[in-house]
Amino acid sequence: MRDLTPPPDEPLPDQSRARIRAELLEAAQQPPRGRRWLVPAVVAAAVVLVSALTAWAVQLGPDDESGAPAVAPTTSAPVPEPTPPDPTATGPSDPDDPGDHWAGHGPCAQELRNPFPGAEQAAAFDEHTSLWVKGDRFALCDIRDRTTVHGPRPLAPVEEIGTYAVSTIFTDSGKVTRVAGGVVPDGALAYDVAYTFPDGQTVRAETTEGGGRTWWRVVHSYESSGNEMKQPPIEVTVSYSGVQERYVLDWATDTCAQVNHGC
Amino acid sequence: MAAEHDLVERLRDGDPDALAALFDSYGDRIYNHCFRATGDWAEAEDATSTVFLEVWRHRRRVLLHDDSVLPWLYGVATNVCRNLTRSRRRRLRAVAALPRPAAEPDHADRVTDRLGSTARMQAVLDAVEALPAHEREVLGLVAWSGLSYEQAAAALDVPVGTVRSRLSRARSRLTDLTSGGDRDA
Repeated sequence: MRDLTPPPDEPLPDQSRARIRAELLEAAQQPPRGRRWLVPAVVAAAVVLVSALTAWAVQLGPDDESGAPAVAPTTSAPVPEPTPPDPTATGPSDPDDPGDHWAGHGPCAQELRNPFPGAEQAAAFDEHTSLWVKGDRFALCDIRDRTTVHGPRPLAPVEEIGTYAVSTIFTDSGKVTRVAGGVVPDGALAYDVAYTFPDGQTVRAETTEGGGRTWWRVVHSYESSGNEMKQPPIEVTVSYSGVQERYVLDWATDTCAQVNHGC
Repeated sequence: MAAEHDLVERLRDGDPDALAALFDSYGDRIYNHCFRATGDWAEAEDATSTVFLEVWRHRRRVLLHDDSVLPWLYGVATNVCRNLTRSRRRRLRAVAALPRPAAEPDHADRVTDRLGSTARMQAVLDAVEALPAHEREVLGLVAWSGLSYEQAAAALDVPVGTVRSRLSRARSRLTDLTSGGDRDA
């Protein structure tokens, strides 16, 4: 019988030990990547919110005789939808005009103008989902019953629950569609993202290449039944580089990733 | 183990010195565990570095088992080494199998020792390659790295009974394999 005893242990060579230790300290002393984009992201979100409220208030105008102060819509309450345009009305002369269009029903380039001006398409999964990039940020755009634009996020993935937030679209047929997507970290080994939805289905992310990056996406539609707040939460499992992370998405907070229309 | 508990608390709080202290305490053990998984000292160095970088990235999720962080560290190391691509491992083994140049007289004994230990570990890994990966991992943790069944279970996030059964099956398989090899010889 062959000897299956491994050779005796050896210490790390001194030079290697010093090198690794220095690398670890350098990596640990770098400021967390997740914070750098936080301030601009909050500012951008505030700008979008103020713009939306202003547009809404202008739309209500003198017809609003309630005299009640405008109240910011929250993610847990239905967001008032703008009235669909009169089919007989003349549309904007410039089809790319971001102005008076029915939010959530324009092409991606148009819907992105407000939250992410200047972004250019970097990749697409199919005719539905595309990824848009400007500088060091990206945004996902998804066209189904509506055009849904996710809030811009940093291209360098941040390992936190917000990275896996889903957008939500309810349809007249009683279905709900959830979409999530992002960038596969450079050098990540065996990257895998899987979402388990309240209907019990587990959907693994698909990937595509574009703009020199690998992108992942998860899409799932299912019958919407009752108050989602009382349903099991959406769970996310992320595996890469030998580490597994699990996230439980909070209803509303992590399930309303879109910025161009309500949830 | 109060010191280790404090160390982990500091790590969770983002103290870089805690990471360095953890590396100082367990770097050698992880290094040797990775060597036994890869059969290559250079690969083990890279893997060790990756393990502690992953520890830092996921420091808020560090788990203590019986007040020891070691099983969790071994779990991270096992996952990191598992994800080294097969092709890379094959390449490394192919390189390791090439005839070695004769040792230069001015080479340190230690270099020769390391070449010898690499060849020996490669032979051991070749012998256990027929085992399923999850049985090899249990063998590596319990038989080679000296973890208890409970610690190995914590490292692999499986029940203790699963560790016992995997190890039992691994030993049984190895007995069959090696005795078959003897018969063929």
